[in-house]
Amino acid sequence: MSLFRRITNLFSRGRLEREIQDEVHSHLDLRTAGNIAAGMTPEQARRDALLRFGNPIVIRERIVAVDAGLGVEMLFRDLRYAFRQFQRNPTFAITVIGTIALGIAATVAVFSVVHSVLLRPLPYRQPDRLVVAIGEMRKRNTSDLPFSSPDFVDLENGAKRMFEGFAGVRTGKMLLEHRDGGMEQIRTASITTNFFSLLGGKILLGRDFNQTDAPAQVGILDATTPTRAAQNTAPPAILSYEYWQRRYGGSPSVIGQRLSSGANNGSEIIGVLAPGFELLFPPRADVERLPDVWIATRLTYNNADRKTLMYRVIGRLKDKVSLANAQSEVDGVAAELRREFSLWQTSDCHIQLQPMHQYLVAELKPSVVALMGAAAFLLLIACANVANLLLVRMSLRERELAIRNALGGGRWDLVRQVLAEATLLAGAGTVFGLGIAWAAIHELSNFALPNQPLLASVSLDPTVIGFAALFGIVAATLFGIGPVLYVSRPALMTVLRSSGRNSLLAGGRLLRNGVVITEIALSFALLVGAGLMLRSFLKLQNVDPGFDARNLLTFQVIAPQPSNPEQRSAFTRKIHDSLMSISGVAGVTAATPFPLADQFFPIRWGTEQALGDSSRFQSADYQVVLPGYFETLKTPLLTGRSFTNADNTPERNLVVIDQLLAAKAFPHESAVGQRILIRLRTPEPEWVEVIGVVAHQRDTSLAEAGREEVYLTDGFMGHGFTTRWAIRTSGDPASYGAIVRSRLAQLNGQTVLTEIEPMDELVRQAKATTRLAFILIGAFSVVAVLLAALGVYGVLSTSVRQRTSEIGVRMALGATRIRVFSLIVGQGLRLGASGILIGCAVALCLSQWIRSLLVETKVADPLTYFGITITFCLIVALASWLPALRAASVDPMRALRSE
Amino acid sequence: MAKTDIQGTLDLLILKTLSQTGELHGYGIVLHIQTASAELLRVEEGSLYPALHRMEQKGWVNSQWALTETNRKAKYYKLTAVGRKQLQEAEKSFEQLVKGLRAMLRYA
Repeated sequence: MSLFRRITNLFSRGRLEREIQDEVHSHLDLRTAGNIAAGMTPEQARRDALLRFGNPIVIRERIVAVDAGLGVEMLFRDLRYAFRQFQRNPTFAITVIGTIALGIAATVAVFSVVHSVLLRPLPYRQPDRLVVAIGEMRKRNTSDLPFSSPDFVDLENGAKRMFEGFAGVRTGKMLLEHRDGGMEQIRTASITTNFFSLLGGKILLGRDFNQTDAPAQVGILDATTPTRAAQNTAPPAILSYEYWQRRYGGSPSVIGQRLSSGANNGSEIIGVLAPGFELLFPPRADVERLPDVWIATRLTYNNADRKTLMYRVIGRLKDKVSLANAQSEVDGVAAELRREFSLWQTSDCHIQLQPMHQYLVAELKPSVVALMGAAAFLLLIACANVANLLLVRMSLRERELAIRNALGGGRWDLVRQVLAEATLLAGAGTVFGLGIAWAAIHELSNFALPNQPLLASVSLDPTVIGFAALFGIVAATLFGIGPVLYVSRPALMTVLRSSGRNSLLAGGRLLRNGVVITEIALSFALLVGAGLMLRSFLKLQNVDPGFDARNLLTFQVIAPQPSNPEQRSAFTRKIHDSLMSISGVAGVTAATPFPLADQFFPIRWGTEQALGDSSRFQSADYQVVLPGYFETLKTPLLTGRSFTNADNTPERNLVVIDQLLAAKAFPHESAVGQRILIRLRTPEPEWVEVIGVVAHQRDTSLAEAGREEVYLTDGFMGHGFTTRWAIRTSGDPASYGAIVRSRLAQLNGQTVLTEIEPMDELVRQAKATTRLAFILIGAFSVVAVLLAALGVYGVLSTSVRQRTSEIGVRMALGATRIRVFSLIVGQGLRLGASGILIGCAVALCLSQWIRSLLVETKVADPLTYFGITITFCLIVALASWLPALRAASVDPMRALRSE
Repeated sequence: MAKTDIQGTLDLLILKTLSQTGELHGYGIVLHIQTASAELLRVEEGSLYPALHRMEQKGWVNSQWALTETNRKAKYYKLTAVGRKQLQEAEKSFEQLVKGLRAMLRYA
């Protein structure tokens, strides 16, 4: 192996050199002897031998160069030299490596998020072929709707040309009674039998569902009432791996057992899923990520069921079918449904397809992209800074470089030397950066946004590490290129001719100024981003959510519900009274769904006009509450009255609406006493009377106002509907958890208490995205601004050093210290002004990207721009301060004498 | 396509010399080329050694130190099997070069 031999030659260098020398000597001796034999004198013979041979040293070098052609030798030498340079000046090396490490760490940490959220394919079979189908009621401004069972059947049968198939899923929670009498709340997923085969879920034990497990319901096609879930035999179930381990200790004998002793839940367990199968849906779709038990669902085909939207639908495109073609096939199905059914027609319902990955990350993508941009900026700034440091150092080494050049060090050798230094610095920086990123990712996962399924899997995997290496190379190139341009200039020789002054510092000045202006511009843009996030965050802090989150404890109470409404009412009453009797509790209520804790679903509402023209129906969120809800949450009552206990029955069709709904429904009159139509408990809309108007509550997000809302009583829904309770406490709400638990246990041994959380905590989680973006972008921009300030400082202090004699002359000619001082500060401010101008333009272009992260803040918020410009001027002035001070303290006599 | 570089020609000369003489030191190779070519070819003596070193790295020749007839130490080079094959190729390629050159000259 010649390569191998060349490399071993590197290590036995001494021996090789000796051998070459011996051989050269031997040749010269032989030639000399030959010449003598031919009749020359010894001197003549020797001279002739040397002449014929050429310069032995050069020849020796040429022989060695055969190895060096490989470059390994050179690289070693350059790296060794670079390393020695850094040893001589460790502060420089540490500064540079630290700067790069920061840039790399930020980029890698954010890239790991980008990788797991945007780049890594979903953990399903051929995930790029999966699409999510959602309903979109255009007349009612409502999208992302699930499908009803008959609509699903129609979609599946109507779109067979472009699709391999469709699978439906809905998740929920279920109380499971075990043989020992204990109750357990489990997460369930009802799925169509083809679900696992369509997505590629693997069965570890037992078998997958097949079509006979859940035969389609044979019903009357146009029954007036929706199909009831009355079953003689429960459909079979498949356990998740995790639940199988937790509940059954991984015992294989679980196959064939019943899920519970209760008649309703007596599903037979037919299989166990392989570990790690997740349902990846965005939080707004309200789908459990890790169901414990998967149950085969029976699809009904009864037109009365079309109003019950419950299935999330995933379709698999056939090979080579484009999304557009699939969409047009699905459009055909939707058009057919609009012709056939009035709900579809009046609401102008469409079916929208979205690639599953895109659907999942739609909400997260802007923040992730914005963060990646911010991190990339930071890395760029770090590189600019290092480039600057290298340039300054290079200019101080100018004479050394020139001398090396004069002594025969080729320009290429110098370039290679610079590149070796850059590589060494970038390599060390990348390694440290990876370390910081690793720690940061650990922190990030603690920090993780609630309910973002893909964020759970962020880690430093080989792809991310590979990209870190790539970033390192990019960084080395970026900050190496300036110095390379510098040393490859042909004019290097003039340095020797000039006197002791670093005359060529002036030549590099343009380059260095450019780098600093870039730095200022980038960090300005970054700081604008941080400023906008800060404004949003402050806005969010001051948002009035329509309730008072302090001293409020929320929890979910799940208990087996008695079958008759009076008993349910009495049971709810008992819970209420027992909670109310806890000392320190000032108010008790319950609601479903509950603000910031549950998903809200729109229902249909309309005024008199909608009776004649059903396209006049609109969407509003609804909430079912116990009397006392508004009082306990301290939601202001604007007009009318709130619910009393007497209103809490099915017969009283009374509602409270919020101010948004009141303004929309009755813009010119008082809403109290008016009637509206709502469609919730009955198949067709029914009349209800408005008794009061309350302030609007922010229910699903603090950042957005959300939909109008109508409030109904628990009694209206037949009692026992509300499961999430809230108590207003005096003092720390979290400390009430234990007593609530014991009170509920006294009440009923089968009650399950879960999700105990102070309302404060729910509010905090609702702010998490904004806070995270603010903290990260803020941290990046603080580092960036520090680096930029350092850059300004570096450039100015070099400039002062170089202009010392000029300053001396100025002072000798009568310039005051103040003049000199302002000269240097002015130079800094000029740099700053150019940077800020460019930065403004960059920020205006790029801040569109974070628009979706902002809360009630304009992208071109003048206050932010103004404030940051002022801040920047101050920072630049501050960074110029020290160099200016040094310039002002120049002693003119000494400066001139040193000339 | 024939290789037309001068280095290739020097390689060919060295390889051919070694195949004709068996084992020889650098100085000997210079002399052999000179005499065998009827004094027409004269190798720049220094440039022989980088070529020899490169050929050794490539495994075409191997070397060992030995004494000459005049009792001087010298490094003797010998063709390897790879080197022999290389020689055949170099000869073929040279033939082509010469043919090509002739054709060119005739054409003019």
